[in-house]
Amino acid sequence: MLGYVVRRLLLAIFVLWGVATVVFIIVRMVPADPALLIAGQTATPEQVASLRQQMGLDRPLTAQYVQYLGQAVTGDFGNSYTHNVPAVYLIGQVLPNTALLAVLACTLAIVVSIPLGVLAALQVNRIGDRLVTTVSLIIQALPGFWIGVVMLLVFSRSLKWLPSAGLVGAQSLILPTIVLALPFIAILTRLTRSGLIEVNGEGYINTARAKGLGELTVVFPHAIRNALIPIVTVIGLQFGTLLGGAVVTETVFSFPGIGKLLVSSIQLRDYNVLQASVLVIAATFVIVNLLVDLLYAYIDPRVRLSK
Amino acid sequence: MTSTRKCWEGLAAAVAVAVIALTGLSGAEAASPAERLPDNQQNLTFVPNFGVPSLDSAMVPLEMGTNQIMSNVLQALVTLDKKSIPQPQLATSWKWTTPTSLQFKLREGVTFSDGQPFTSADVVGSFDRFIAKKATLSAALSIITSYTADDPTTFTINTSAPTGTLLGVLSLVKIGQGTHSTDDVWWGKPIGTGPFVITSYVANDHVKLTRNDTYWGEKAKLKTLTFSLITDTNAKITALANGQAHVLGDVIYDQFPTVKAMENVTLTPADALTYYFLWFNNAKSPLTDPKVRRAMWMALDLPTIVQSLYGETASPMDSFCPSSAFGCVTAADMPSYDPKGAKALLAEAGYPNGLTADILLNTSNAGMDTLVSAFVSQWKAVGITVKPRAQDPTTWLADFSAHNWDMVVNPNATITGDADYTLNRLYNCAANRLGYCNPKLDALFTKAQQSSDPSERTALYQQAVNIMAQDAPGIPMFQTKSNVAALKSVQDLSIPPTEFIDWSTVYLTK
Repeated sequence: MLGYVVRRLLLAIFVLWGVATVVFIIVRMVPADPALLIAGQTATPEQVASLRQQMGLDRPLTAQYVQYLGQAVTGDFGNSYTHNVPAVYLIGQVLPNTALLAVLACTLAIVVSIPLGVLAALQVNRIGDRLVTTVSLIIQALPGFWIGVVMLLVFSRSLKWLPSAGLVGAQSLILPTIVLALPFIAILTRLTRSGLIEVNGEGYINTARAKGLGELTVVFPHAIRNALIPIVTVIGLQFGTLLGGAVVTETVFSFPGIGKLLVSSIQLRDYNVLQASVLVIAATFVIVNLLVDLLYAYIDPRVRLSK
Repeated sequence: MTSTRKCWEGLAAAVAVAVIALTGLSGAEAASPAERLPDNQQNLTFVPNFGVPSLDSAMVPLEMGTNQIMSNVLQALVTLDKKSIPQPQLATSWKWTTPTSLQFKLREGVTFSDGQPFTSADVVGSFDRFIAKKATLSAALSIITSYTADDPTTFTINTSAPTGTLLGVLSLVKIGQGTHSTDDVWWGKPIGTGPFVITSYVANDHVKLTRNDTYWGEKAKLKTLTFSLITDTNAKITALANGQAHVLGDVIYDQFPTVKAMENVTLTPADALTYYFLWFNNAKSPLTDPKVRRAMWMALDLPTIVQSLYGETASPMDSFCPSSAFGCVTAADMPSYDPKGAKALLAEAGYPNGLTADILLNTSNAGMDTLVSAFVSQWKAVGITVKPRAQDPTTWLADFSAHNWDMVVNPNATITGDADYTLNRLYNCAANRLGYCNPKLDALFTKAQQSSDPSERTALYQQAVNIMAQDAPGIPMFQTKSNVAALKSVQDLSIPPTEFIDWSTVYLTK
């Protein structure tokens, strides 16, 4: 197990280095000059050059890259070009909001989807199953921004029950949580359903039924235990994605999260914030995946034995 | 099986109850008579129409969003009134002691919100910062050769030439504590002498101000003022509809019917200093020829296009800067819609079969693509083929600065409220903003900039815009109004042309 953990950790570090390098190259390939953006339309070429020097953008790319990697290792990504405060400070302001949203969306998805998946599996090809699978498919097919806008119009504008933007209290979390959770619910419900249907024909399930156990006892814990393995993987992946910031949902609800910060840093070509945000998102995703892999290896010993 | 059926029945019942609850509720609330809310409920939320890249005024002195907030926290030596005339703020009076020395008498008894007294050393420190930052105001401040604190209440600026326009520029130089002139962190959330104090700031989300109870003037009536940085148009309107926001900084024309339909909201169009221009690349053939430029202008039915696209929110311009700014007088003989005349002029210039050109536009300016499409079709009618090039703001800025365009459209604001800021800054030879140079015009601009006599300056600008109307270096397309939507519970809200609202007089009623 220790060897497996070390292997996975080394791979995670390699992935993060790869992300850091790709981000560095891409942001510098994108047209436009951050110094010009800050200096504005009225600036003379001399003023722009002076600002570029202040920002360290006049140095060779290799020197910038080495400095950037050094900063990344120490967690200091330099100051935001526009806000003039450390990039990590800006991320620290919004990351807890995104994390809270991710936890809530994940919890809601698990609480709703697993019972729905079980119900559908117990009613295979009957009305309940068809209803669940059809609704799941529809939800998965609908774009998140559309669902967000419709919910805004209904619950914020027409009914005036919930705030439409920002984070002004616990009620601000309700709509973004639901919008983020809905596609997740659809995936998990279908996965739970198919997982249960698959294990339903297994010998040990038939044995349990032959012993006279009730249907619910057969499902919990006998059937669900094996069906959970792929579900845990998907939950982990999805949670990592949510922690990385739901850019569209955060934009629709003007939610102060890392996704919105990332979009703004791209628009302003704020390299330091952009690089730091992408690395934080990548690190979060890698760490969550690492944890899922370790959990998976714990649940299923065959995983850690394979190279 | 029975248990699962019961589950489905229960679920169906819950959905039915929810539907009944949703459809049975009414969103409308009865309006109550205007009665001032108690102090602890004087909490107003404003959704500004501009982004806020930073709160550091020295870094982004021309950013409208930053100024909208910081003008309530930091103050300047002078402020502009509704007619864009400088009025005392932290300076009580000023005089030109020599043609190039401007002396200010500072207000006594003023303290910063932390209790520290305000003196001329703070003015010196703040000028140090604004000049050292070499930001967007640096060109306008480059006329300053030195400045001194003569005594704690006297401050003198020396300029390289007489400068009648300096006061308008100084309205943008915000005064912070002098000891922090090099402290970027401090200026990111500064302490000022204004009626409000910054209490929290989350980038791209909100800035919250609270009343400065030690303010030297009349105390603000609001207890808190939150600038909610909502960017999505739909979310903004919804925030107003459900009472989450009290005031929206600007409502786009498309949303007028929606906002006007709200019973508890008033929509007030106010004069602003914002206008939209089209520039020709005067250094690029065939646009080097004034006849071609005038022909392109004459091909456009601007009044009709502006009216149909922007309605009451905009009006065509009769000068090269907005009429709400000082010195922006009506130009004589501005080209007007005349497609036949345009064709004839093109033929006279040697282009009887028309010509081709491109036009650069910024995708962040909503509706600009529609405007350009209307232009393209009218140019087509006189034989001119124009290809639009829509770009994201940063790419646009790079191409714009490199003069990589035949024509360009963009909004601008005469932020100092003075014609000099737009005319001299953009159209003098040295600026080389659009490849246009007319030495006669430069002489007029310089004379107008140096004069302190308003009537003389107006006469000089009259001559200048008359020349520009003949040269047609660009087309001043239209000037816009600031369309502020506010709940009826918001009282004493006044929108100045700068759009830097003084929130200290505003209060809320029931």
